[in-house]
Amino acid sequence: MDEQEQEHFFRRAEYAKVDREKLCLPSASVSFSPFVEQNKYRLIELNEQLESALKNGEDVVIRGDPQDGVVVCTDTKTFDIKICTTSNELLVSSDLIIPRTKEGPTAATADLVLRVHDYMEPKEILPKLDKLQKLLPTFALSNDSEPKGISTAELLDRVQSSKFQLQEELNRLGAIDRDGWKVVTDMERVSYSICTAIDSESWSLAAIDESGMVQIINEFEQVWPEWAIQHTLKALSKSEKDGTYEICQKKLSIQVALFILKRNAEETNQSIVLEEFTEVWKTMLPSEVEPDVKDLFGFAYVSADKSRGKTVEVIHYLNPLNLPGDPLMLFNFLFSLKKQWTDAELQALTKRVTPPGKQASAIISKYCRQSKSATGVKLFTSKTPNNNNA
Amino acid sequence: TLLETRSIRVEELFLKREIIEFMVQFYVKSKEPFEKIPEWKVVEIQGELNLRDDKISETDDESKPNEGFGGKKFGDIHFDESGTPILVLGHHTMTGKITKVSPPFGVLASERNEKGEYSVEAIIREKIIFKTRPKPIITYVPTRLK
Repeated sequence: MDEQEQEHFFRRAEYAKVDREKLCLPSASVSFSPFVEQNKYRLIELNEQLESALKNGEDVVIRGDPQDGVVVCTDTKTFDIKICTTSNELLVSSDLIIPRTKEGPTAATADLVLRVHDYMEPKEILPKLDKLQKLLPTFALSNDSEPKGISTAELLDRVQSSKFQLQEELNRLGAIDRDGWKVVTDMERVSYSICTAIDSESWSLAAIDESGMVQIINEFEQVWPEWAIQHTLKALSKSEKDGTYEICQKKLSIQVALFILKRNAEETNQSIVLEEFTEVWKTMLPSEVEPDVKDLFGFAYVSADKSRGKTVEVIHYLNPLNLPGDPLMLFNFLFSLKKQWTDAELQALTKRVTPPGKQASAIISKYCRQSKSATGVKLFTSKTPNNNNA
Repeated sequence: TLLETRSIRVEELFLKREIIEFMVQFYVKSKEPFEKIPEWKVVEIQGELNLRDDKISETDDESKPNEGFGGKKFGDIHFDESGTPILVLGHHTMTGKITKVSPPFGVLASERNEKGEYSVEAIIREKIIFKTRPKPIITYVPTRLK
């Protein structure tokens, strides 16, 4: 601003009763930039995670089909974006100086480059992973040929999720990356072979040698490909060093249980009496392993069967690939299987659909009605009348 | 001052009507190393600015068509000895307050750059908010220099 303009500027200030002697400088003569109507920018609230990701040069990615709501992902978290409209007008200046002292140039010009009534607000959500179940090729080792898999990059192109959360879900589904991701639907058969070998050779669960295991399993013919045995050993173990695995008892017992449940489901299409199941289960496992039915909640559920003359407890297989990611749909599905669920069973199933910042218990309370059994056990039933009809 | 919150679809991000058929990933990158991007400011006004239909063009270049607010004078902002901001807008004077914007706003480009990325051009950590007298609408009166 030249001298003459400055004079006009301060005379205006005087008309407005602004005392030019008592100002922090510089003052600003503010105008709209020529392109202000072009909406060259959008405002987005940067929460801690987004700001830190940008600072560290980590990925911040917008993912979604054109019709999807905008989702922004960092490496580990997924955020839904909403537009917040304000009653106040927001004028953005690229060069307005807020003076802190009395020194400085007397007057400066400032440009307003944006004029808006809204901004984008991120809110952390659960990743949207339901699509994954349709995208992943599946095959049974015992039956089918191996299909081509789908790459992580391709998956991230299609699924609204952070990389880390996608990986977690792939792990939950038991997917394997062999020339792309795919799901082996009968990995428990390999686990069973491993379990049998451990039992027959009396090996210690703390130190299982991979090559020894392959040799025993495939001793007479190739029962399972080497990669499948290796993958299963990895999935079953707590740690591994130089081809020696420390097998986790809980994981092994779960896999053997799945073997029993799934074979039974295939062959008889009936559920198994819980007592019989537990007996067979214990027999199949190495003697030092103490199996616990509670570990199976998440892929199995127990119900009372009145059709066999007297009331017995039976156990059913629950396929993780069939479980909806939406809480309402999930509970509707569960209550279609049986009317009453225990807290322990629901906790195992609800963690997956619990939004960030909330507790599984709160979600359960939201969708279920609580009651007590005759023995004082907490039970949950559906809030929807339809689901409560026998 | 929050009026409403609504969802935004991916296709609404595009300023010009682009036809995108399949799912895409758009990277959001800071324009320069994040510590170096400029800090901008927000001036927040209660109500709404309206451009008064003026027969006299106030822009310097009279051959340019009236582009709404583009190029027009807004007002003067002074800061008194305690640092309180004073806005002189035509014949109105308003005092305001300097506040922190927390969490900060990122200023995101509306259009993707040549790499196909949305660039974070600046960050806003401070704003000046001016509250009007009870009048909810301010009529903007461009000031003519005498």
